[in-house]
Amino acid sequence: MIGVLVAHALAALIAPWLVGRIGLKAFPVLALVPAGAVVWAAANTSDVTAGRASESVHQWVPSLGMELAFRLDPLSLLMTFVAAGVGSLVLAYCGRYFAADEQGLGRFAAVLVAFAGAMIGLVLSDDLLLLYVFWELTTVLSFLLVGHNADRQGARRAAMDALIVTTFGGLAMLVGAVIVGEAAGTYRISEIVANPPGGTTVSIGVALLLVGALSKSALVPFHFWLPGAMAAPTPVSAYLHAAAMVKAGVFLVARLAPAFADLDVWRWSILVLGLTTLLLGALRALRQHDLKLLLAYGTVSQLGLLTVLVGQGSRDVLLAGLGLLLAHALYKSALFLTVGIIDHDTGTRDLRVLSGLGRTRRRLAVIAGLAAASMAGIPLFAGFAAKETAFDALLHGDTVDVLTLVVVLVGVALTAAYAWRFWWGAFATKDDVPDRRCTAPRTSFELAPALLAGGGLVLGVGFSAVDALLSRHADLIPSDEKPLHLAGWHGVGPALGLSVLALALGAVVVLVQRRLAGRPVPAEAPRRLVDARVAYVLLVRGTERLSVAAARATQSGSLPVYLMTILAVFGAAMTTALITGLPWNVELRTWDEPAQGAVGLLVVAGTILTLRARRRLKAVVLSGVVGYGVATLFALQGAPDLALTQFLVETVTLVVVVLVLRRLPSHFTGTVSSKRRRRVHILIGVAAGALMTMLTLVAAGAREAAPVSELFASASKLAGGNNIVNVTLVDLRAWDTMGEIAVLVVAATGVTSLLFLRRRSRAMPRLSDPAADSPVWATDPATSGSGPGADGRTGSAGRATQGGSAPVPGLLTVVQHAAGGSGTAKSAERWLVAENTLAPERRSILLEVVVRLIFHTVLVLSVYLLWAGHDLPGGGFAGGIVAGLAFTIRYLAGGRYELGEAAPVGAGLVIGLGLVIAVGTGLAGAILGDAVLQGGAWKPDIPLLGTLKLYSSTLFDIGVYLVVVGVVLDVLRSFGSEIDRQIDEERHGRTPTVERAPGSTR
Amino acid sequence: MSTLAVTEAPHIDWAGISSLIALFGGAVVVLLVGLLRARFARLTLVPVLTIVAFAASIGLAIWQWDEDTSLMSGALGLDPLAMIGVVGIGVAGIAAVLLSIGATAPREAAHGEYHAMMLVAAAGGAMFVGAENLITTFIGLELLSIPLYVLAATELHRRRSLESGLKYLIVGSVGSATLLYGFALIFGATGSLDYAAIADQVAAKGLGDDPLMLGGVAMVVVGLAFKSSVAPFHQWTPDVYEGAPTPVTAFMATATKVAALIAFLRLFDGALIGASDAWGPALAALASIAIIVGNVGALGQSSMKRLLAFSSIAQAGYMLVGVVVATKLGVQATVFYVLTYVVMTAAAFAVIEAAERESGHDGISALAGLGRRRPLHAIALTLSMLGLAGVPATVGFVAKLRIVQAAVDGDYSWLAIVLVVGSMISFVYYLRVVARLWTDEPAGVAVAPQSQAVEVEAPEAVATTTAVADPKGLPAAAVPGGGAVVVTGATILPMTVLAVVAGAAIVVLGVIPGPLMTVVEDVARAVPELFR
Repeated sequence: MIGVLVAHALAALIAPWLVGRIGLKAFPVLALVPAGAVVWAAANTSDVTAGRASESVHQWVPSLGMELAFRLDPLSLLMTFVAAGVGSLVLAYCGRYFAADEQGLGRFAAVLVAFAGAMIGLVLSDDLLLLYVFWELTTVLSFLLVGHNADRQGARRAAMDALIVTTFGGLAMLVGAVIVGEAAGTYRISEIVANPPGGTTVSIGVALLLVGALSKSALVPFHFWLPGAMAAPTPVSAYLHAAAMVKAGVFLVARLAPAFADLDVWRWSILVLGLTTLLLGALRALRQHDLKLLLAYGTVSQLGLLTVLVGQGSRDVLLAGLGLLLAHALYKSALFLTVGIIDHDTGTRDLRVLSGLGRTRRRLAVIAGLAAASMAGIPLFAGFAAKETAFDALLHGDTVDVLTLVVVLVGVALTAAYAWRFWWGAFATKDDVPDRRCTAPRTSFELAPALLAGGGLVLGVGFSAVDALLSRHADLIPSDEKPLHLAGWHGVGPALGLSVLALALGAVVVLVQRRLAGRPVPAEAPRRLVDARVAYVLLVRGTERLSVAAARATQSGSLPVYLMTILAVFGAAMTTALITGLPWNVELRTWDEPAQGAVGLLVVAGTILTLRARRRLKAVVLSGVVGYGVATLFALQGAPDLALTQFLVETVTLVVVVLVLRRLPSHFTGTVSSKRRRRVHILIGVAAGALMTMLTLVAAGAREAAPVSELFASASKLAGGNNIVNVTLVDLRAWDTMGEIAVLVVAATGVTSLLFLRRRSRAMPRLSDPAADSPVWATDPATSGSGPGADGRTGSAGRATQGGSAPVPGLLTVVQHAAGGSGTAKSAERWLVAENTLAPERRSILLEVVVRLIFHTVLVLSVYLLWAGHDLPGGGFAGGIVAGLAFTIRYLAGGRYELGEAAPVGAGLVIGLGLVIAVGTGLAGAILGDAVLQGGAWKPDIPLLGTLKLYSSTLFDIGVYLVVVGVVLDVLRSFGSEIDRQIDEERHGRTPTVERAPGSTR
Repeated sequence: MSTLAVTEAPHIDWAGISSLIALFGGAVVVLLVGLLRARFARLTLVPVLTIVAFAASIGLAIWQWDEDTSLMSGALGLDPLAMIGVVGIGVAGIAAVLLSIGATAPREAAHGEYHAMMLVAAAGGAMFVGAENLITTFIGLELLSIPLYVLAATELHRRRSLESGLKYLIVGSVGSATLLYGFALIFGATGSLDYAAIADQVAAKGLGDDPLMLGGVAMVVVGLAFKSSVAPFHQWTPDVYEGAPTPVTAFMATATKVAALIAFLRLFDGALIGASDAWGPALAALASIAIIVGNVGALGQSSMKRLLAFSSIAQAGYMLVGVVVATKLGVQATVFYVLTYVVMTAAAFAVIEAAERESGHDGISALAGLGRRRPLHAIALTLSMLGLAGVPATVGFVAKLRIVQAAVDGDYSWLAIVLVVGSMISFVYYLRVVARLWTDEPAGVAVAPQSQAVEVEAPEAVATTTAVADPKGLPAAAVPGGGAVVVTGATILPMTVLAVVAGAAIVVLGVIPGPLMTVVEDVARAVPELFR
């Protein structure tokens, strides 16, 4: 069986080449492939009829339960005949239908052959998942086929609609397949049908499978895609929309009916939707003027009937349904192909324009007549035999069946009416319409429809020939009564009477319609309340509009909004968690000593004031108060080491933030304007804060183990130090510290690389720079007020400017007065660098001198902290920050050149050195001891100073120290010096910061 | 010298962390090579070395495949789940490096730094997927995130890029902080940092309804949802995806997803499995919100990157389903999905980057008629879109099927139905892109006569091409119909290579998923808690 599929795949692969090579002649050649499948099926017919279904199973994805399981049983044989037989005829027909210079014909041929293969695979597969795979393949391939005339907007949209609707169904089917498969414990269809699972879940699964089947077979409410898809080339419509693809749904229903037909969800949805479709489609078909659309609605109608018949759930009705399936494939594809010929030869499909074709194209009229007769259900034709069997079977059923019969009868009558309308519309000679010109007939073009229509007659007469085969499938549903058989003629009985009645009714409809047609058409047809297509379009458009609206509402791009959403959801989650976790074990203790309460109040006050602050600087300083308050709490709690670290970190952060603030507006901008939103913000903020407070209390109350800090205390004793923070950092959890300093370095690198718009190597401001002659932090006369004021201040500040207050770039030079030296930076005294670099109005000699005096002391202190850190408050981190602060005050007092001269090494070098030392210590531990970061100690006695305790961890700490110093330097360089430089350049219009491409404006 | 063995340092299995070492070492080497003055070193050697480092980490991970232990006293797991994560991140990294060749971002951020940051982020990801200890998890996460904040902002002269970096930083920090707080609470409730010990404690003490534990779990869910951009914590995603340079977006979309989802699996299906009654419904709700929000949101997008951002939100929702069900099948399904997601997304971004270089923007209109101009790209993008939609014969179908099976098998049928409803919606926008590829005429000068076409002969010769791309300092997308830049001679070849390879993988794995599936089956070994 796989061979058949592989043959199709190969044919599809070579098709483009073949078409490119021999043009349209390729189509008949390609038609041989599905024809071969027909031959193969025919060869197997006797076996299958005898009840020997053949299987072929190959492993594919065992873990998914997916197998390449194929099974040739009566139903799949029937469908193979339909799919492959019609497929080969349609392919042959294509060779005449298309013009040789048609665009993209190679691709079209390939896709059509592939489609035939996928269709055959679909009907042969015995694995639900495999079936789904082929199912979706036919969907995608049909998309390509319908959209073949891709230049037409309509074709594209139709293809898209068809694709969306059928994929929608397909996906539902996938879930259904998985649910049913999981419940049954197997995905093999034959096993599921033999042993159907039950239960509510399975009902849901089956319902989902039905959604797939019904959408593919264009039943209400999915029916609108099929007429839309008529934008496809006619051979495609004949194959996909009459014979093959739309039958896939019917096939699936027929396949599963023996197992699930007695489920309520199955029975009622099939009956109601199928019968509605039958009537709706037929009525619509009667109103069409486009022959192809007429057939399309007719197909919709017939698919409804087919679904009802094969899904109704009794043996005889199923048999009738299978018979009708075969008959329908024959007559409907024949009719479509006829329309294709008419369209091709006359250039129109409008039955109001066509006239006289019956005379000029007698042979074609006969072919169409045969097919239409079969569709109408005229005796001796296949359609008649199948429908009569259905009447007979339904007559013997219960009340529901009889009601069904009435509706079916009406449907069949309408079918007969539109069959006549089709034939009459296409071929009749109309009195008031001029004859339509038509090209000469070509026998080869008419061969395919002739074969199909003739097949309908042959089948009608000899229906009993296929009875054995079809009964074999229908017999899967047990039946108590004497089984019916398919036959060309059942003899005279109630069923025949019903058939005649249906034809008579059809004739009445035709007459009534002709009478109505005489009347003037109302100017505007009343709008139907429920139109599935309109509903679909509204649904799609509505979803899209919703999407845009939702995106606009939620994706405003505003960070506060994002954060608010996050906090709200987070708050909801936390509240749920806390409530679920009731009761809490909360223990409240006010304070150990009153001072803590006072500090706590300070912290709270600071927080509230911070929130109310309008100026950024004020807010920063106030938040600094909060930080110091917390550090004080640490100190009061008896953790001087923690407190020290916290104080230092707080200070550095404060300085850095203030440096950054220079680049931001002085006040908070964009504050919430509307009161309501402000209230929402406050509400969410307070709620989040309250939640966190609760959580903290709960967390504190939940302690049941001994505090881990005691463990740390004893562990740090073991490591030979009293400073728990430090010992933890450099010894107990040195690995983590290693990671953290790496992160710190990466962060610093990242921040600076964002800030430095030029290469870093040049970024260190030194006195030797040519730019060093321009004053740092100079107040810009152009920006600092009106003319006279600026002039006055220039004088009083003791600064002389050349060129006045006009912002002339590059002319601003500084002449130092009494306090300064010779006026150029290069010759400045090294002791007070600011002397010749800082703008005079910014200088404070006192500060500079004091800073210069204490600088080394602070550095020594930092080294002491580093050294003493193992036992006393301090450590590499604290020491590093202190050293960093020393540089910070140098910078603050003297500007960027002061900093450059104070630390004439690159920050990167310091950081790198630190990392190397830290890593080196670790590696040394690995080499000397047994593992990375293995500790060791060395305690030499040094005269005067006493015993110096040197641990290997101290070495590691030095690394940390250097990294921290480096990072602080880096931050000062970037947020301090670099921003200074950028500001100065912008103010005084030096070389542009960014080298811009020529021609671009700033 | 007197030595004193103070604490017993953990034993270190060097072979076990070799793939991490490859990434870290690669970062250092690349950083140093990037300092060389020669153009060859910066433009050629650096990317090549980066790819070598990624490839080495993949190779070493495969070498260590059969291991099943933990390293450094349980800090880092060495098991197939970790290794497959490393492989996934490595593949994502190689893809991102290929996309970066000739791009603006590495030129502006300096090649060495750019690639080193990518390697460091990947190393963070590798730690993250292997972490079996709360601290390691957090460090891995930060190491993964921080370079990405920077990378997102590397196109310094484009405001969108800077903005996206800032947004990512702020929102990401909130996420990290939440996660850390959650970890602290979990540690408080269980008294342990190791996953295995946490699982023991949860099971032994019945911590399923302990307020501390639940609070911690809620915070961890929020924190990880940030990282994997699961709605409603997704809002940063479209802005950041759109603003960041495309290669970086590609890396973020793929590598972060791998890392975050595997971390989800390890943490929830491993350490917190005992509290699954508490987090199961919550995660299921998040997953369905993500599926709906992502898919509906993507409908209205006209920028490919934004579209993919929304789609990635939905995809994260799908993948989360495998975590929610907390079964062996679920773990396998999620891992399989995330791997295939890397491949499919890489293909898409390759084409988008190429189209962006040729047209100057990433709107869907830039793809119009690509089928005629660059058939290979169009085929690859078609396959990627179909794969993401889950059409059979692509690997996306197998992945989705696996997830659906896991959901049905784990008694979450309703979630499977939500997933499928989401997929249905997704068909509309994925196929719209496909239709655009194959049908429309190329939107050339004739279509948009008002577009300011600027010819840039050789991008290298001009210091900053972005300044040209945005003459008004506005994002190109904001200028209606204008701002199109035709960059002749833009480097396209690496994109083509990536697109072809990824596209082929989508089909081949779609037809023959067996081998990868077998490989993925191994990963369930890593969450022994599931089998208790």
